Amino acid sequence: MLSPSSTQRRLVRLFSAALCAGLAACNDKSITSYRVPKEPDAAQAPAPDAAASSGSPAISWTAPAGWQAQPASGMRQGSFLVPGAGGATADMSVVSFPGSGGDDLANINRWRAQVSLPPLAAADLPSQVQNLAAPAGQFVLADFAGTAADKGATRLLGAWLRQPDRVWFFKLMGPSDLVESQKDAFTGFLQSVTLAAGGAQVAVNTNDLPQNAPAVQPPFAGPASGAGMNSMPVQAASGASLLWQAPADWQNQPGNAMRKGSYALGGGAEVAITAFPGDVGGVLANVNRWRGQAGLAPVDDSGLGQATSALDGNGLHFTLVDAEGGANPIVAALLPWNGGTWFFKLTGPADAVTRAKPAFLSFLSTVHAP
Amino acid sequence: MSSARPRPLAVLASLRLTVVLLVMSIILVFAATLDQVHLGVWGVQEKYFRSFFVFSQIGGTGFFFPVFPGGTLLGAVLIVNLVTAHLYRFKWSWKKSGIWLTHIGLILLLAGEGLSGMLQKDNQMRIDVGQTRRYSESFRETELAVIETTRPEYDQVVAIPAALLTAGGSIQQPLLPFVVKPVAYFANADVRMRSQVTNPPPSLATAGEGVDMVATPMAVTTNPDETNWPTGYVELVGPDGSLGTFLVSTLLQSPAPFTYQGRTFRLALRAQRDYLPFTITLEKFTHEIYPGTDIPRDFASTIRLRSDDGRDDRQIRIFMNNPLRFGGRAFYQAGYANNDRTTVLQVVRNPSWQIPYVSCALIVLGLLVQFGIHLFTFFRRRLAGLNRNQDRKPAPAAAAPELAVSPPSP
Repeated sequence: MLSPSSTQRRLVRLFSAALCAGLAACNDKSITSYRVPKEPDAAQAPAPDAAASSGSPAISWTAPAGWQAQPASGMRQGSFLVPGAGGATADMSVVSFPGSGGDDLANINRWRAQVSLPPLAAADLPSQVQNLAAPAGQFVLADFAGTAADKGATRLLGAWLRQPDRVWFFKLMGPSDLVESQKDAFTGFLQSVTLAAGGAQVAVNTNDLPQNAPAVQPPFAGPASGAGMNSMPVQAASGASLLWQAPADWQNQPGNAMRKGSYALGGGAEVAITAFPGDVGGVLANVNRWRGQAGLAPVDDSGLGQATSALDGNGLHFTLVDAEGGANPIVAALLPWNGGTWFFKLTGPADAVTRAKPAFLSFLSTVHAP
Repeated sequence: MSSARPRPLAVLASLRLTVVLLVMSIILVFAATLDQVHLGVWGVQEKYFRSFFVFSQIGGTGFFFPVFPGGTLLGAVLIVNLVTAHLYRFKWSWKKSGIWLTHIGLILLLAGEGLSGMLQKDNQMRIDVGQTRRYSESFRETELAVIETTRPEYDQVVAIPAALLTAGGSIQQPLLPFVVKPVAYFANADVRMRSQVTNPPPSLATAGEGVDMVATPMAVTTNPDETNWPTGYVELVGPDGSLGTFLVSTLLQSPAPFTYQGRTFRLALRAQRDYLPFTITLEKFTHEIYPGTDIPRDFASTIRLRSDDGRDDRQIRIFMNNPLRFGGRAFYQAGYANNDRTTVLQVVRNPSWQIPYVSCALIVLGLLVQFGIHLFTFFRRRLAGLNRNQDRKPAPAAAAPELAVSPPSP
């Protein structure tokens, strides 16, 4: 064996220092800046469904002169930047949601809150809205002037148009003077709206995932995006999904990040299947949440036995909650499984829920672990 | 062993350390393989291989402590061990030049893997037929892009890695007239309209469309069939005070613009982008299956590549196992979507991709040289031995048998 020379020792130290420097430099988490050419389509992901890109939009309109069209987003069907004097701008949005889109009072009060106005009572509602007959249908109009955080005097012109299974919201919001000057343009915009025949069935770009999952991971797929997993604990997966057999006449609905399954049962009834980590507050809290949604009084521990019943099947133990007596009947089941809690919920109009209940209960008996 | 050798270096140069490191590597690979069921392939790579230590949570608490060295640490120590042993135990001589070459090849191979881990970027490009793209998107990393759209000629982008949103503290950038203050960040969340949620909690957002929305944090999924939707809240603060707190989410693909000091901005939380000095247009996508089955026989993208400097404008066909290598990146045909109207290309950028080839060539060359030297020495000794035998023996009556091999010339 040879004893190391001073040159050898120096080489070892030099190598070690270079290695440490190299390892230290590998953590690339710096802010970058660059210029890119304007790409009108760049902000939009490829359309996830055939209908959205088939050239037959569900809705169309004629935008007033001067309104600058912006790319539509996951929530927005239409978006405009409305420029005014002195660099001021207002924002115009067209948003659509399936279902009822909330009641009128809730929508009005949501808009009022955005311009720092107090909520209205139900009795005051008729005096605060106007109707507008247009080729597309009967719009409900609202006009509120108030203030928005750090933006001073702000005005909001809003309108909605109800279809049997969908609601369209139109909102122009910005500095008071600018919005006032655009009031006629806003009304003209609503008059120009046309809905394609069968538009209610056209898939709309909501935050729901497409029904037909792509053959590969979507653009943002992958675990623990973003934060850099070296810097955060790796969380365990939520586990495998439960399996079930839905009746043939239940229509599968698009799921989303929270929903494990969703079905339309006809007559407005719907079954939603969700899962959350942990016990989500426990049985009593969830029972009372559902009873609250159904319009029933909460129960305490002593009343829990009467408000719930047990349902066992396939080695699974459901807690069944029957809240049919209220204004918004709910039949739901709660299932602790695999470290999480699964919720099966049947909602809809009273008669539809009553009709669907036997099928819902037999559906629960098909649920099993993989 | 020499008593003059400093003790720490003696440990670093020891063969025992090499064996211990190799055994630990085997254990690491075994444990990671088992854990892949829970974490998925990316999670396992981050936790076990691209880390200095493997951390484990103390049951029931939020504390994590290191339980085993990670792949990065084991690889680094292995290189140090190999180099140190080389510098101490081996002395340069022509006779051992093959061993030197082989070991340099091995060290380069290890270092190359380390560099790949640090430098390789795996992105993807999704292009519709007829669409032109000039950027690829990260599979896993997210960024907050502050995009100034004031100028008609171009967009000015300031891209902030999402890791900085979780780190806390304000973020300043000279191009921005405001400070970005992260308020909250969720690696996965569900975003819904407020009107769709019963009893929604108060929103953290005070500006932008996020005011009308509710973000609910979700558990991070590692299932490759599921998607995480990073979401957060950021407050923008200018010299005159706060501009408001905005909801940012990968679910909002094109958030509404806002103006400040006469300039127009958009805030977008999106997959991290890598802009290219060229554009790719998907002209045609072909997806053939074996007749009577759903098994893909061939899927190929016919693309048009145009470089910004005007030197390249050509049509290229990318198909399975035939990637396009251009601009320091390799574009592989990875998938398809949207009823065969969208192609998915995997874009790999690895500046050190040639190192494994060089390493293997060095190892092969080193082995050839070393065996060649041994062979040469063997023949020379054998020839010398024969000559000595001939000198000692009396002259035979018959002629000596001829050598089967002629001696190499010196």
